[in-house]
Amino acid sequence: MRAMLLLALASAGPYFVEEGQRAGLNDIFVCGDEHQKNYIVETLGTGVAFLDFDNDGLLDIFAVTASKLEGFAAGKEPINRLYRNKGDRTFEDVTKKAGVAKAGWGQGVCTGDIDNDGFVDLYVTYWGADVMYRNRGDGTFEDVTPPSKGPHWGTGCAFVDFDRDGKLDLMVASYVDFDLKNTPRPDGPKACQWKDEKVMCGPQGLRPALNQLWHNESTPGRVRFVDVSKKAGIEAPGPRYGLSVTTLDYDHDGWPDIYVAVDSQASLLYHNKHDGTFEETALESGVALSEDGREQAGMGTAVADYDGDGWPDLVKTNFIDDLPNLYRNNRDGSFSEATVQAGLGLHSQFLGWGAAFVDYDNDGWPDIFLVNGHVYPGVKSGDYRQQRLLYRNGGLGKFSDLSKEAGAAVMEKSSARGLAVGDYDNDGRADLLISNMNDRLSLLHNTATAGQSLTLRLIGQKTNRSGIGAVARLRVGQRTLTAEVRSGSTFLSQSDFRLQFGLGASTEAQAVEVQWPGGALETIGVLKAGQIVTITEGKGVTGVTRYGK
Amino acid sequence: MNLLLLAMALAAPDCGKHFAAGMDAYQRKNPAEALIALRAAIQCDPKMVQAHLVIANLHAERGNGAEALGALLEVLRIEPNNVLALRAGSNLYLRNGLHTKALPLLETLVVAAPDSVDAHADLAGVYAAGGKREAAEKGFRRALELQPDYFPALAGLGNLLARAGDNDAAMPLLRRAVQVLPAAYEGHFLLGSALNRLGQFDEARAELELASTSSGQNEPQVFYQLARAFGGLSMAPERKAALAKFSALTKQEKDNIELQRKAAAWIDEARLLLQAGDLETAAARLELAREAKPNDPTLLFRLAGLNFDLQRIDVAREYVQAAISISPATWLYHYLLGLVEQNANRLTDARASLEVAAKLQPTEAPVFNALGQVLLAQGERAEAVAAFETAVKLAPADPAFRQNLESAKPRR
Repeated sequence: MRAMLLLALASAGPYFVEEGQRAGLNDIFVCGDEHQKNYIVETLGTGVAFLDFDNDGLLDIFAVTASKLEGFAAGKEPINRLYRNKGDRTFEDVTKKAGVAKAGWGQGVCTGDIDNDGFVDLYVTYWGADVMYRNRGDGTFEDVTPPSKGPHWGTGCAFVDFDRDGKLDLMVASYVDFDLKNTPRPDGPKACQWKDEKVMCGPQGLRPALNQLWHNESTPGRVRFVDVSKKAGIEAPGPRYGLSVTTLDYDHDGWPDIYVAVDSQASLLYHNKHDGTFEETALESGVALSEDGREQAGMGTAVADYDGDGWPDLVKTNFIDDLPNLYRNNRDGSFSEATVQAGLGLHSQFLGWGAAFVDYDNDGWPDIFLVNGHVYPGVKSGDYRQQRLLYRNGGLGKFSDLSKEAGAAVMEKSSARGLAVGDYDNDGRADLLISNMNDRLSLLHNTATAGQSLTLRLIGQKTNRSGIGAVARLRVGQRTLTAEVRSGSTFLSQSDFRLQFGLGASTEAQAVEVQWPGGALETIGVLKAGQIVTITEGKGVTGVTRYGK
Repeated sequence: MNLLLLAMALAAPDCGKHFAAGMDAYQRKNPAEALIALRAAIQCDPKMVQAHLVIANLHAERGNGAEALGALLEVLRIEPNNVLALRAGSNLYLRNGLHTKALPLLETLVVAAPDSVDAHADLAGVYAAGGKREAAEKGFRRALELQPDYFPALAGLGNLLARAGDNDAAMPLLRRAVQVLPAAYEGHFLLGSALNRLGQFDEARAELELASTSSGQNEPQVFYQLARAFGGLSMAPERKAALAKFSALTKQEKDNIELQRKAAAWIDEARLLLQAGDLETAAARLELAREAKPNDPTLLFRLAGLNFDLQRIDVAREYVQAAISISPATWLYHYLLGLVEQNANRLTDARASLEVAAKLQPTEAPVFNALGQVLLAQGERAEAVAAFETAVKLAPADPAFRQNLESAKPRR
């Protein structure tokens, strides 16, 4: 019966249409030389974010740029961009007006309301010195970067209230303790090789770096973050080639844990010990390595309950000649790799970066979207520009590759890196934002004839205002749909905080409950499909907007 | 490589004299002499593939893969479809993980030898490693048509299909592989891994325990899979122990890699110390590097040279002899051994080594100069003069060689 229902919902493609240029996203985002990567800093690309910085209910875009090693003439340097959503599926560049026009070797971005003033703030990682921007609430930002431990190579980041004090803390991954002067080039005497071709070196052979955890000790009117990396046990596993950061309460103990995808080494799972410290448990939990026990080149990560059992599962992208990992939560503190059984063992010819669970067809089962692209532009043994991948979740723990049916926008080849999910036109269908190496952004507008959906915007009161860490559960027929608000994740990027639930053919969720980060459970009654519902901690539903309004 | 009989049978008659001498020396286990004769055979007939093949064999037997490969590639330049060279060359590449280099050789080999079961299986393995699943499956199936119980093809195809989620087709192949070669840990490991994927943890555990107690006892991935099986069976202490073993073996592997990296750094450091004239410390760094690379002939040669300069003659001899045993065709090593023996006043040995060096590299003036000195010390004035004359002819601008020649000439 359910299979028939799903079939009925499935529509002919295309499911996504490229709208970047139509939307006014014409800037080029730079990361090193376009044709020749001499150093590893030129390969990671940059991140993107969907955020509503002006609280007008429309998703805006923040996009990070890196630079080129030879530099740019003064005044010509590429800068990070903030694009304001005009409400007609187009965007305007408000970078300078907002005060975020910064050049440098930008990498990743994550968002969260660090001072609980109701306006989302920004953190941008750099090869250099990271930057924290506080949103003043008037369309402008101020630099409130905490005193750093010195330049590093920051990559992924995520805001998380790890000690549940109601204030968002910050986890930042670090990649390589990079020494440009002493790193061999492909055209030099100590060139590195990949498949018999001379390529840039790293990360293996370069010094890995230490991840950072910053505790939010802000007081009204004063933003203050203190480095607690060592004290909290974040440094205990030693330096790693850390990339993306995602947060999840994988063991349902009510405390947020942190997963870091690591390149060329074992990935890290920091289990929250409830006392302000973490214990690294990735190996024991089964999420450190490949199914064969091999270290992988972990890039991007995403979390969702793909099998509908109420527990968060993980997906991670990896290097070429490898598969992504789908780690199914065993509900006992461990995971089992389900990649092949789930149908994700089809393609090893792609080098994966951004990853997201996105229920593109609103059938209530999170699908998987992955973006790809090589790190070596000129190699003969792999395409630098690669297609994207859409795996549809069939609902029985099995995915099928629907990339071709999804349309030209999905099959388009680019050297993609960052990926963010958000419904930028508020039509109840999840859209996708992709950063491409030395290219324009791709904005994939979701055009699927999809099922019903319901979007929840969660606002914390005692807990952090962004609702990060809050879990919503919806009863839809016989099923319970579960999703968590999180910062960071994918690759160097930030998706919308709002939780969008596909309801299939159902026109309502029969019951909704929200578990706030402190553990408080708030029960909401029936909620109709086709709307964006704001739920404020302790106050229930405080706002409703129909889709398209 | 079993190339010798064929090589002997195919030797070109005109140049067969040199080739026969080379084979004779080879059978007497005198690699340096064999190489000299075989090179003479090649000089006589540059297209004598059998001589190149024996040279490749000689190098391969001593673990000198690069030189063996050089000889095999020469064969393939002459005869692009030479099955022996294609097979041996691809094996050498595969052994070093160079799949992309092995690929064209194997693709040629399956055409040149279409009934070669190992060629089809090896090619399929390369395709599988490169993500070319359909081609890999076709190759493994062809190998199984030729030999239904060929273990590498059973295991390779079973693993390929299991990884694609086709368990119905994979499991019988993996089970058959285990029956065909029960002593090989790979079969038990692959079957155990597939069973883990299927959630059949009891049987997975049994297979993986077999793998862990046989030749897979030092393979970390066996213990990782075993931990998965224990996890599935809720056997927490056993799972913990298997993970601990996995971690220990992985650490050991990493330590080895790190040691290799350090060895490279020590060699770099020794080079700088040498330039600064600190021979003692340089030698100490190279000694450290040798622990990581005990069979690296270049390193052994450098150590020999340093110890020679430090007048540690016995140590120098030991190192250079070790280098020669690995790479007997390198004239420089024989030259250094000649100098060492000359220094130790072991003139017969010095002469023998220098004569080998001179035959291997007849254009190096210092070799002939040293040979002249040794011959003179042995009282062989006429031969010494001839050697000095060769040195002067090769390096007419060198006054030392000229002076040695003048001194050696009989006085009127």
